[in-house]
Amino acid sequence: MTLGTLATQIGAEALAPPQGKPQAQHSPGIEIDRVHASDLVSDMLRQASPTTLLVTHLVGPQLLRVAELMDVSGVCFVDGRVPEAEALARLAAHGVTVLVSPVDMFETCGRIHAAFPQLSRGEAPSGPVEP
Amino acid sequence: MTTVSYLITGGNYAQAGSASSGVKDMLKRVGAEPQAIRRTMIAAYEAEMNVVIHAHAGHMSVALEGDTVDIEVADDGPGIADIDRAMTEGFSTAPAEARALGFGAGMGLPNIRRHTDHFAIQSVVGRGTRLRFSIRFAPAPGRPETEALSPGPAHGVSLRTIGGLCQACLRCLTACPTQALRLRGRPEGRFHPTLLDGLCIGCTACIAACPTGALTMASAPGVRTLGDHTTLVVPAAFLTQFGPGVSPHDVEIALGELGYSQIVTTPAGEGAGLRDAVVAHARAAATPVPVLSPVCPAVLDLIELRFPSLLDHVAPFLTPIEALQAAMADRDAIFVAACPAQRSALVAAQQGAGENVIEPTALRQAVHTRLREHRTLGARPSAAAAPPPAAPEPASDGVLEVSGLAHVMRVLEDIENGRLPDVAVAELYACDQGCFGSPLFGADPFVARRRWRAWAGECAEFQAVRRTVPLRPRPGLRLDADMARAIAKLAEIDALTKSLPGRHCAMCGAPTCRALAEDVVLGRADLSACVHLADSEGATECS
Repeated sequence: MTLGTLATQIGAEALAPPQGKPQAQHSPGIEIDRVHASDLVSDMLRQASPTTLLVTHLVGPQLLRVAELMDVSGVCFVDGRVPEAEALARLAAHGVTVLVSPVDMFETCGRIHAAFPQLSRGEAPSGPVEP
Repeated sequence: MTTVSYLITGGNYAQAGSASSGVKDMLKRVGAEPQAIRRTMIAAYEAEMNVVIHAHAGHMSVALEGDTVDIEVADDGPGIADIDRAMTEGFSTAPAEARALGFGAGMGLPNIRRHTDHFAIQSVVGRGTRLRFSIRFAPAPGRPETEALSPGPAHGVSLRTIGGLCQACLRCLTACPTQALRLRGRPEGRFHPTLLDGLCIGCTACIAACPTGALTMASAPGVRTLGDHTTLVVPAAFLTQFGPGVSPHDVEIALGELGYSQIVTTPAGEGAGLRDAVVAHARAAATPVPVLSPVCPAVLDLIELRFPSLLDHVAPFLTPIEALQAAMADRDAIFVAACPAQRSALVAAQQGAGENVIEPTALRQAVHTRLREHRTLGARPSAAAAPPPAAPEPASDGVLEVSGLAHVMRVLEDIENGRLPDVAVAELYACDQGCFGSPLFGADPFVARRRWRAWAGECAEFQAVRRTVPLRPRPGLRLDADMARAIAKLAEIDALTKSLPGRHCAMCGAPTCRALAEDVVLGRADLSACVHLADSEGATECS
């Protein structure tokens, strides 16, 4: 499913990059197959993949870095939180689509699960064999 | 061995992660597999954040050798009193400030150990902590390590240099999109551009740049026929080269007088049948978007060489000229190639050495002579007649047409970075306005193409033909077939590039300073070729 479709279904807003910043990278058409909700950086590092949507409260530089290092394609901020323009521009530059959900984490996840129950069953990206 | 070191500043959450970003770039450049890059990023970022959260300062040193990346992260922080407890999931001593930012889950060290192949930790309370870990990686798939570095037989070079014409102006060196050309003096004092193995994509950039005609397309000489029933396959662009009063039909008459019994025109640009087939393919198959239409053999070569990750975007059809060649298999046909890439494609698909492929220049001269005779005889076949109504523009819904190499390279980079999700099909041509822009033709590409449309020139009936031999990555850009040796060479080239003046003057015979460094490391040139290095040494002696 595309991030654009998901955003419409859960009542989230897909943010365009700030004025004057490159528009080309903004791609709500991107396909995702997993959703991971967390506010812990370590957790998101392990769970992120290019087809994962991260749902989080974190709007600071550390979230930005996780998205950049793990090639994340979409992030959904909850509680109507919007990162600063500079952070938005950097997310856009890395091809990350930004959604803002007006409701809290519980309600956001509930809506995603209700609309797309298959997303919650996605496998975690394959890591190394557990010791 | 390549070694890089980064400083990490404690408490600087805004900059945190920049060392990990640097490591990521490095691993991509040597072609490590994505899964290994992912594991390295998890470990490196956790380690980097530990320094930012707990210490005043630290550093990350990264060593790349063989198939392993070794990372050491050391800091001057408070040290860890109980390492066993620190290695337990959920245990954290992070301050409230860090926890507010999403750190301090107590997962950092366990995360690092889980994702690395080797992990060691040393810590002294009051002195600091030192982590060492390593990750083994294999080359990214799709670039088999055993593949020979020589170009395959399908990539015969169709560029020819004409001795004695080169004035060493160096323009071709910088024009070449793959930096394939070098210009070094011969013992007898004459210059002569040479090609590096496996890098020429057969585009016409150097031919267009050359002011003296020293570079051209290899071809059978002169105007040839193969007996009484020779079909001439000629690009649409050729038929609009002779001025506003000469219609494609007039040119066909002149060509008939030169001994060709039938004239077949290769599709101009939008190649009716191919576009339909590619658009249908894009709709039907689960292929990555955008689908790249195989309209231009030079662009296909460029993708094989510089953008191998996009090979599965290319629709599985032959280029128009190859498809016509297949259709003409049972006829005596002579092909006029518009560029070296077309010639290479034609020659690769047949037994002979390309005696039936000619270049346009001599044929153009012959047609000119014929047309002049028509005029002196007073016969003006159809020039006086008004052009027929313009052909309808072909449907172009969702099709992105791009021509000119600079634009093509940018678009390919955008596609590689996933930045063109709104394009379903892309048709990319190396020359401006497609084959109308080949420098082997004389007329301006925009004018020639407009005339073709205005005269409603007709192309051969065109059927898209499936490609049976798949496109394959060309290893021409890899520094060494062995990844470990490639890494060592990369480090050497980086170091040497820094010592060069960075003026990219091309006086050494290589297009850029980095290209010279690469030549030196790969044993193709001597550092003394740099005129600026020699100058500055001379200056030191004088002072």
